[in-house]
Amino acid sequence: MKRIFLIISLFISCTGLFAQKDTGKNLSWGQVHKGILAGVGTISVGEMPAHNISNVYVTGNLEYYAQKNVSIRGDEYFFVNSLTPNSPLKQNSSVYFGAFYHFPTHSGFDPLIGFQPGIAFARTTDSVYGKADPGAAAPLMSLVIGFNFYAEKWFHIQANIRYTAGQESSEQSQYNLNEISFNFGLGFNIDLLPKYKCVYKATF
Amino acid sequence: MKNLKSVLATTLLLLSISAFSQKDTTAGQFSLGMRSTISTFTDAQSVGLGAGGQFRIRVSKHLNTDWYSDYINTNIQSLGFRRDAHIGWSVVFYLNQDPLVKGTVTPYIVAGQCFDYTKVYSDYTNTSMERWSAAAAQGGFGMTYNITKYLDFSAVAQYMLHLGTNVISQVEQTEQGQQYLSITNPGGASLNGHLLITFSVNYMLGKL
Repeated sequence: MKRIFLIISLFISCTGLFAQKDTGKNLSWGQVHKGILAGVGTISVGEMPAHNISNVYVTGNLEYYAQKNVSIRGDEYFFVNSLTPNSPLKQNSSVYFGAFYHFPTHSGFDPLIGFQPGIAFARTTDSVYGKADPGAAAPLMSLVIGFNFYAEKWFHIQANIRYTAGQESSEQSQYNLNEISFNFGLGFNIDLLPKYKCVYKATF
Repeated sequence: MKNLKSVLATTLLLLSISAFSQKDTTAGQFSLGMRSTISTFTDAQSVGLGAGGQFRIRVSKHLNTDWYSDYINTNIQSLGFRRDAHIGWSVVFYLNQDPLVKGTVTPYIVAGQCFDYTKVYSDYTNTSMERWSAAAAQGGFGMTYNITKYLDFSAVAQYMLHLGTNVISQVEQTEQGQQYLSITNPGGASLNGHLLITFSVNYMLGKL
Protein backbone atom coordinates (compact mmCIF):
# COMPACT_ATOMS: atom_id res chain seq x y z
CA MET A 1 0.00 0.00 0.00
CA LYS A 2 2.84 2.29 0.91
CA ARG A 3 4.53 1.52 -2.42
CA ILE A 4 1.38 2.37 -4.36
CA PHE A 5 1.05 5.65 -2.47
CA LEU A 6 4.72 6.44 -3.15
CA ILE A 7 4.36 5.71 -6.88
CA ILE A 8 1.18 7.81 -7.14
CA SER A 9 2.87 10.68 -5.26
CA LEU A 10 5.87 10.55 -7.57
CA PHE A 11 3.62 10.45 -10.64
CA ILE A 12 1.60 13.46 -9.45
CA SER A 13 4.73 15.46 -8.67
CA CYS A 14 6.20 14.63 -12.08
CA THR A 15 2.96 15.65 -13.81
CA GLY A 16 3.11 18.91 -11.89
CA LEU A 17 6.61 19.56 -13.18
CA PHE A 18 5.60 19.06 -16.79
CA ALA A 19 2.43 21.07 -16.33
CA GLN A 20 4.31 24.23 -15.37
CA LYS A 21 3.36 27.03 -17.68
CA ASP A 22 6.06 27.75 -20.24
CA THR A 23 7.45 31.25 -20.20
CA GLY A 24 8.66 32.97 -23.31
CA LYS A 25 12.23 32.36 -22.23
CA ASN A 26 12.19 28.61 -22.25
CA LEU A 27 9.92 28.36 -25.30
CA SER A 28 12.73 29.88 -27.37
CA TRP A 29 14.98 26.91 -26.67
CA GLY A 30 13.07 24.53 -28.84
CA GLN A 31 12.46 26.89 -31.72
CA VAL A 32 14.20 26.58 -35.07
CA HIS A 33 15.29 30.03 -36.19
CA LYS A 34 17.80 32.02 -38.18
CA GLY A 35 21.19 32.33 -36.55
CA ILE A 36 21.59 28.89 -34.97
CA LEU A 37 25.10 27.48 -35.19
CA ALA A 38 24.94 23.75 -34.52
CA GLY A 39 27.59 21.09 -34.36
CA VAL A 40 27.39 17.33 -34.01
CA GLY A 41 30.02 14.65 -33.48
CA THR A 42 29.02 11.01 -33.62
CA ILE A 43 29.56 7.58 -35.15
CA SER A 44 28.19 6.61 -38.55
CA VAL A 45 27.67 3.20 -40.07
CA GLY A 46 27.60 2.76 -43.84
CA GLU A 47 26.70 -0.06 -46.18
CA MET A 48 28.20 -0.40 -49.67
CA PRO A 49 25.71 -2.45 -51.69
CA ALA A 50 28.09 -3.00 -54.63
CA HIS A 51 30.58 -4.86 -52.41
CA ASN A 52 28.30 -5.95 -49.57
CA ILE A 53 30.57 -4.43 -46.94
CA SER A 54 29.84 -2.23 -43.92
CA ASN A 55 32.06 0.59 -42.72
CA VAL A 56 32.35 2.65 -39.55
CA TYR A 57 33.16 6.35 -39.49
CA VAL A 58 33.67 9.04 -36.89
CA THR A 59 31.57 11.83 -38.28
CA GLY A 60 30.91 15.45 -37.46
CA ASN A 61 29.15 18.41 -38.97
CA LEU A 62 28.83 22.14 -38.50
CA GLU A 63 25.63 23.84 -39.59
CA TYR A 64 24.53 27.46 -39.73
CA TYR A 65 20.91 28.52 -40.20
CA ALA A 66 21.16 31.36 -42.71
CA GLN A 67 17.36 31.48 -42.70
CA LYS A 68 14.83 29.71 -40.51
CA ASN A 69 14.36 27.04 -43.16
CA VAL A 70 17.74 27.11 -44.91
CA SER A 71 21.08 26.06 -43.49
CA ILE A 72 24.60 25.74 -44.84
CA ARG A 73 26.37 22.64 -43.57
CA GLY A 74 29.75 20.96 -43.82
CA ASP A 75 30.30 17.32 -42.86
CA GLU A 76 33.36 15.16 -42.37
CA TYR A 77 33.51 11.37 -42.28
CA PHE A 78 36.68 9.87 -40.88
CA PHE A 79 37.01 6.23 -41.91
CA VAL A 80 37.68 3.96 -38.91
CA ASN A 81 37.47 0.53 -40.50
CA SER A 82 35.26 -1.94 -42.33
CA LEU A 83 33.09 -4.18 -40.20
CA THR A 84 33.23 -6.86 -42.89
CA PRO A 85 36.20 -9.25 -42.63
CA ASN A 86 38.71 -9.14 -45.52
CA SER A 87 37.28 -5.90 -46.86
CA PRO A 88 39.59 -4.43 -49.54
CA LEU A 89 38.68 -0.89 -48.49
CA LYS A 90 41.40 0.56 -46.26
CA GLN A 91 40.59 4.26 -46.41
CA ASN A 92 37.48 6.21 -47.32
CA SER A 93 37.50 9.48 -45.40
CA SER A 94 35.47 12.28 -46.91
CA VAL A 95 34.27 15.84 -46.56
CA TYR A 96 30.99 17.32 -47.82
CA PHE A 97 29.60 20.81 -48.13
CA GLY A 98 26.16 21.96 -49.20
CA ALA A 99 22.79 23.41 -48.32
CA PHE A 100 19.81 22.01 -46.44
CA TYR A 101 16.13 22.82 -46.57
CA HIS A 102 14.28 22.54 -43.26
CA PHE A 103 10.57 21.78 -43.53
CA PRO A 104 8.56 24.26 -41.45
CA THR A 105 7.09 22.88 -38.21
CA HIS A 106 5.64 24.48 -35.10
CA SER A 107 7.96 22.70 -32.72
CA GLY A 108 11.59 21.84 -32.14
CA PHE A 109 11.23 18.93 -34.54
CA ASP A 110 13.22 19.91 -37.62
CA PRO A 111 12.93 17.54 -40.61
CA LEU A 112 15.44 18.30 -43.34
CA ILE A 113 16.66 17.40 -46.79
CA GLY A 114 20.06 18.36 -48.17
CA PHE A 115 22.31 18.16 -51.17
CA GLN A 116 26.04 17.96 -50.54
CA PRO A 117 28.76 17.38 -53.10
CA GLY A 118 31.97 16.18 -51.51
CA ILE A 119 35.34 14.60 -51.96
CA ALA A 120 36.78 11.40 -50.52
CA PHE A 121 40.26 10.07 -50.14
CA ALA A 122 39.94 6.34 -50.80
CA ARG A 123 42.46 3.51 -50.85
CA THR A 124 42.14 -0.24 -51.29
CA THR A 125 44.38 -3.29 -50.92
CA ASP A 126 44.54 -3.64 -54.74
CA SER A 127 47.93 -3.57 -56.40
CA VAL A 128 49.30 -3.63 -59.95
CA TYR A 129 52.74 -4.96 -60.87
CA GLY A 130 53.53 -5.22 -57.16
CA LYS A 131 52.75 -1.56 -56.56
CA ALA A 132 50.13 -0.98 -53.88
CA ASP A 133 47.24 1.43 -54.33
CA PRO A 134 48.41 4.80 -52.96
CA GLY A 135 44.82 6.07 -52.87
CA ALA A 136 43.12 8.80 -54.84
CA ALA A 137 40.74 11.69 -54.42
CA ALA A 138 37.24 10.80 -55.54
CA PRO A 139 34.46 13.33 -56.17
CA LEU A 140 31.20 12.48 -54.45
CA MET A 141 27.55 13.40 -54.80
CA SER A 142 25.27 12.91 -51.80
CA LEU A 143 21.69 13.39 -50.74
CA VAL A 144 20.76 13.58 -47.06
CA ILE A 145 17.43 13.23 -45.30
CA GLY A 146 16.96 13.37 -41.56
CA PHE A 147 15.90 15.53 -38.66
CA ASN A 148 17.11 17.61 -35.76
CA PHE A 149 15.19 17.90 -32.52
CA TYR A 150 15.77 21.08 -30.55
CA ALA A 151 14.41 20.53 -27.07
CA GLU A 152 17.09 22.05 -24.86
CA LYS A 153 18.79 25.41 -24.87
CA TRP A 154 22.24 24.17 -25.82
CA PHE A 155 21.68 20.66 -27.14
CA HIS A 156 19.78 18.90 -29.87
CA ILE A 157 19.43 15.42 -31.30
CA GLN A 158 20.27 14.68 -34.91
CA ALA A 159 19.65 11.69 -37.19
CA ASN A 160 20.64 11.46 -40.86
CA ILE A 161 20.49 8.98 -43.68
CA ARG A 162 22.93 9.78 -46.47
CA TYR A 163 23.22 8.27 -49.93
CA THR A 164 26.64 8.85 -51.48
CA ALA A 165 27.68 8.13 -55.06
CA GLY A 166 31.33 8.05 -56.07
CA GLN A 167 34.18 6.10 -57.60
CA GLU A 168 37.83 5.75 -56.62
CA SER A 169 40.07 5.67 -59.68
CA SER A 170 43.76 5.23 -59.18
CA GLU A 171 46.29 3.44 -61.36
CA GLN A 172 45.98 0.41 -59.09
CA SER A 173 42.29 0.36 -58.28
CA GLN A 174 38.85 1.27 -59.57
CA TYR A 175 36.50 0.96 -56.64
CA ASN A 176 32.84 1.88 -56.46
CA LEU A 177 32.21 4.03 -53.37
CA ASN A 178 28.40 4.14 -53.49
CA GLU A 179 27.17 3.91 -49.92
CA ILE A 180 24.15 4.42 -47.73
CA SER A 181 25.05 5.56 -44.23
CA PHE A 182 23.24 6.35 -41.02
CA ASN A 183 24.22 8.46 -38.05
CA PHE A 184 22.47 9.48 -34.85
CA GLY A 185 23.87 11.68 -32.14
CA LEU A 186 23.71 14.55 -29.73
CA GLY A 187 24.66 18.00 -30.94
CA PHE A 188 25.56 21.33 -29.42
CA ASN A 189 24.02 24.60 -30.59
CA ILE A 190 24.38 28.31 -29.91
CA ASP A 191 22.66 31.44 -31.19
CA LEU A 192 24.89 33.71 -33.21
CA LEU A 193 22.29 36.44 -33.58
CA PRO A 194 21.57 38.03 -30.17
CA LYS A 195 18.17 39.39 -31.19
CA TYR A 196 16.84 35.85 -31.36
CA LYS A 197 17.94 34.94 -27.87
CA CYS A 198 15.09 34.33 -25.43
CA VAL A 199 12.52 35.65 -27.88
CA TYR A 200 9.64 33.40 -28.71
CA LYS A 201 7.77 34.04 -31.91
CA ALA A 202 5.50 31.75 -33.86
CA THR A 203 7.68 32.18 -36.90
CA PHE A 204 6.12 29.54 -39.11
CA MET B 1 -1.16 67.00 -86.81
CA LYS B 2 2.42 68.16 -86.45
CA ASN B 3 1.75 68.90 -82.77
CA LEU B 4 0.27 65.46 -82.26
CA LYS B 5 3.37 63.84 -83.76
CA SER B 6 5.71 65.82 -81.52
CA VAL B 7 3.60 64.99 -78.44
CA LEU B 8 3.68 61.33 -79.39
CA ALA B 9 7.45 61.39 -79.97
CA THR B 10 8.05 63.19 -76.68
CA THR B 11 5.82 60.74 -74.81
CA LEU B 12 7.65 57.77 -76.34
CA LEU B 13 11.00 59.31 -75.47
CA LEU B 14 9.92 59.97 -71.88
CA LEU B 15 8.54 56.45 -71.54
CA SER B 16 11.82 54.98 -72.85
CA ILE B 17 13.85 57.10 -70.47
CA SER B 18 11.66 56.14 -67.53
CA ALA B 19 11.93 52.45 -68.47
CA PHE B 20 15.71 52.59 -68.58
CA SER B 21 15.97 54.74 -65.49
CA GLN B 22 14.20 52.13 -63.34
CA LYS B 23 16.76 50.98 -60.85
CA ASP B 24 17.85 47.38 -61.41
CA THR B 25 17.87 46.01 -57.89
CA THR B 26 19.08 42.59 -58.98
CA ALA B 27 22.43 43.65 -60.44
CA GLY B 28 25.38 42.63 -58.30
CA GLN B 29 23.69 39.77 -56.46
CA PHE B 30 26.32 37.29 -55.33
CA SER B 31 25.53 33.59 -54.85
CA LEU B 32 27.74 30.78 -53.68
CA GLY B 33 27.03 27.14 -54.46
CA MET B 34 28.18 23.54 -54.61
CA ARG B 35 27.67 21.30 -57.61
CA SER B 36 27.71 17.67 -58.68
CA THR B 37 28.24 16.84 -62.32
CA ILE B 38 27.46 13.72 -64.32
CA SER B 39 29.65 13.41 -67.40
CA THR B 40 28.30 11.34 -70.29
CA PHE B 41 29.33 10.44 -73.84
CA THR B 42 33.02 10.41 -72.94
CA ASP B 43 35.46 7.55 -73.60
CA ALA B 44 33.76 4.26 -74.49
CA GLN B 45 30.37 5.77 -73.58
CA SER B 46 31.28 5.64 -69.87
CA VAL B 47 29.60 7.83 -67.28
CA GLY B 48 31.62 9.88 -64.81
CA LEU B 49 30.81 11.72 -61.62
CA GLY B 50 32.23 15.00 -60.42
CA ALA B 51 32.07 17.51 -57.61
CA GLY B 52 32.85 21.20 -57.53
CA GLY B 53 31.85 24.67 -56.55
CA GLN B 54 30.62 27.85 -58.17
CA PHE B 55 29.71 31.43 -57.57
CA ARG B 56 27.33 33.64 -59.48
CA ILE B 57 27.40 37.38 -60.04
CA ARG B 58 24.16 38.72 -61.46
CA VAL B 59 24.44 41.41 -64.09
CA SER B 60 20.79 42.31 -64.54
CA LYS B 61 17.30 40.91 -64.05
CA HIS B 62 17.67 38.38 -66.87
CA LEU B 63 21.43 38.01 -67.04
CA ASN B 64 23.72 36.17 -64.65
CA THR B 65 27.32 34.96 -64.75
CA ASP B 66 28.43 31.61 -63.40
CA TRP B 67 32.06 30.96 -62.33
CA TYR B 68 32.82 27.34 -61.55
CA SER B 69 35.33 24.56 -61.04
CA ASP B 70 34.75 20.80 -61.37
CA TYR B 71 36.71 17.63 -60.73
CA ILE B 72 35.27 14.64 -62.60
CA ASN B 73 36.19 10.98 -62.36
CA THR B 74 35.15 8.43 -64.98
CA ASN B 75 35.63 4.69 -64.71
CA ILE B 76 36.03 3.44 -68.30
CA GLN B 77 34.43 -0.01 -68.15
CA SER B 78 36.92 -1.00 -65.40
CA LEU B 79 39.66 -0.96 -68.04
CA GLY B 80 41.03 2.41 -67.06
CA PHE B 81 39.91 5.82 -65.97
CA ARG B 82 39.65 9.39 -67.05
CA ARG B 83 40.01 12.49 -64.88
CA ASP B 84 38.76 15.91 -65.91
CA ALA B 85 39.30 19.21 -64.16
CA HIS B 86 37.44 22.30 -65.34
CA ILE B 87 37.71 25.94 -64.37
CA GLY B 88 35.42 28.17 -66.34
CA TRP B 89 32.67 30.71 -66.62
CA SER B 90 29.28 30.94 -68.28
CA VAL B 91 26.74 33.56 -69.11
CA VAL B 92 23.23 32.66 -68.00
CA PHE B 93 20.17 34.15 -69.67
CA TYR B 94 16.84 33.68 -67.86
CA LEU B 95 13.93 33.06 -70.17
CA ASN B 96 10.88 33.94 -68.10
CA GLN B 97 9.55 37.37 -67.31
CA ASP B 98 10.17 37.31 -63.55
CA PRO B 99 13.16 35.06 -62.93
CA LEU B 100 14.28 33.60 -59.62
CA VAL B 101 11.02 34.11 -57.73
CA LYS B 102 10.42 31.88 -54.69
CA GLY B 103 8.44 28.75 -55.53
CA THR B 104 8.83 29.05 -59.30
CA VAL B 105 10.93 27.36 -61.96
CA THR B 106 13.14 29.62 -64.06
CA PRO B 107 14.34 28.15 -67.36
CA TYR B 108 17.56 29.51 -68.79
CA ILE B 109 20.09 29.10 -71.56
CA VAL B 110 23.77 29.06 -70.76
CA ALA B 111 27.00 29.43 -72.74
CA GLY B 112 30.60 29.95 -71.80
CA GLN B 113 34.26 28.97 -71.89
CA CYS B 114 36.51 26.89 -69.67
CA PHE B 115 40.07 25.74 -69.04
CA ASP B 116 40.36 21.99 -68.96
CA TYR B 117 42.77 19.26 -67.86
CA THR B 118 42.21 15.64 -68.88
CA LYS B 119 44.11 12.50 -67.98
CA VAL B 120 43.29 9.08 -69.41
CA TYR B 121 44.82 5.90 -67.98
CA SER B 122 44.76 2.32 -69.27
CA ASP B 123 45.12 -0.62 -66.84
CA TYR B 124 46.28 -3.05 -69.52
CA THR B 125 49.10 -0.97 -70.94
CA ASN B 126 49.79 0.79 -67.62
CA THR B 127 50.15 4.06 -69.51
CA SER B 128 48.45 7.42 -69.32
CA MET B 129 48.11 10.55 -71.41
CA GLU B 130 47.34 14.10 -70.37
CA ARG B 131 45.91 17.08 -72.16
CA TRP B 132 45.55 20.75 -71.31
CA SER B 133 43.04 22.84 -73.15
CA ALA B 134 42.27 26.51 -72.81
CA ALA B 135 39.78 26.63 -75.60
CA ALA B 136 36.89 24.59 -74.30
CA ALA B 137 33.43 25.99 -74.86
CA GLN B 138 30.12 24.88 -73.44
CA GLY B 139 26.47 25.67 -73.96
CA GLY B 140 23.14 24.26 -72.92
CA PHE B 141 19.83 24.59 -71.19
CA GLY B 142 18.97 24.62 -67.50
CA MET B 143 16.33 25.24 -64.91
CA THR B 144 16.46 26.86 -61.49
CA TYR B 145 13.93 26.29 -58.75
CA ASN B 146 13.92 28.85 -55.97
CA ILE B 147 13.18 27.02 -52.72
CA THR B 148 13.33 30.32 -50.86
CA LYS B 149 14.16 33.86 -51.89
CA TYR B 150 17.84 33.16 -51.29
CA LEU B 151 18.25 29.42 -51.91
CA ASP B 152 17.89 27.74 -55.28
CA PHE B 153 18.37 24.32 -56.78
CA SER B 154 19.56 24.24 -60.38
CA ALA B 155 19.87 21.51 -62.98
CA VAL B 156 21.59 22.18 -66.28
CA ALA B 157 22.61 20.08 -69.28
CA GLN B 158 25.54 21.43 -71.31
CA TYR B 159 27.61 20.10 -74.13
CA MET B 160 31.28 20.93 -73.67
CA LEU B 161 33.71 20.93 -76.60
CA HIS B 162 37.46 20.66 -75.95
CA LEU B 163 39.83 21.97 -78.56
CA GLY B 164 43.26 20.61 -77.68
CA THR B 165 45.81 17.86 -78.19
CA ASN B 166 44.29 14.86 -79.86
CA VAL B 167 44.02 11.99 -77.34
CA ILE B 168 42.00 9.02 -78.54
CA SER B 169 40.92 6.34 -76.08
CA GLN B 170 38.87 3.36 -77.15
CA VAL B 171 38.14 -0.18 -76.02
CA GLU B 172 39.91 -2.79 -78.16
CA GLN B 173 40.55 -6.53 -77.99
CA THR B 174 43.78 -8.50 -77.85
CA GLU B 175 44.25 -11.57 -80.06
CA GLN B 176 43.17 -13.66 -77.07
CA GLY B 177 39.92 -11.73 -76.92
CA GLN B 178 40.75 -9.73 -73.81
CA GLN B 179 39.33 -6.23 -73.79
CA TYR B 180 41.63 -3.32 -73.01
CA LEU B 181 41.68 0.44 -73.21
CA SER B 182 43.85 1.76 -76.00
CA ILE B 183 45.16 5.33 -75.70
CA THR B 184 46.80 6.96 -78.70
CA ASN B 185 48.00 10.40 -79.65
CA PRO B 186 47.93 10.64 -83.45
CA GLY B 187 49.08 14.27 -83.33
CA GLY B 188 47.32 17.46 -84.25
CA ALA B 189 44.36 19.01 -82.58
CA SER B 190 40.97 17.49 -81.94
CA LEU B 191 37.49 18.61 -81.14
CA ASN B 192 36.24 16.19 -78.47
CA GLY B 193 33.28 16.78 -76.26
CA HIS B 194 31.06 15.46 -73.53
CA LEU B 195 27.60 16.10 -72.17
CA LEU B 196 27.62 17.45 -68.63
CA ILE B 197 24.54 17.31 -66.42
CA THR B 198 25.06 19.46 -63.36
CA PHE B 199 22.99 19.72 -60.18
CA SER B 200 23.76 22.56 -57.81
CA VAL B 201 22.48 24.36 -54.76
CA ASN B 202 23.20 28.06 -54.53
CA TYR B 203 22.73 30.53 -51.72
CA MET B 204 22.54 34.25 -52.33
CA LEU B 205 24.82 35.93 -49.81
CA GLY B 206 24.09 39.52 -50.77
CA LYS B 207 25.03 42.22 -53.24
CA LEU B 208 28.49 43.24 -54.27
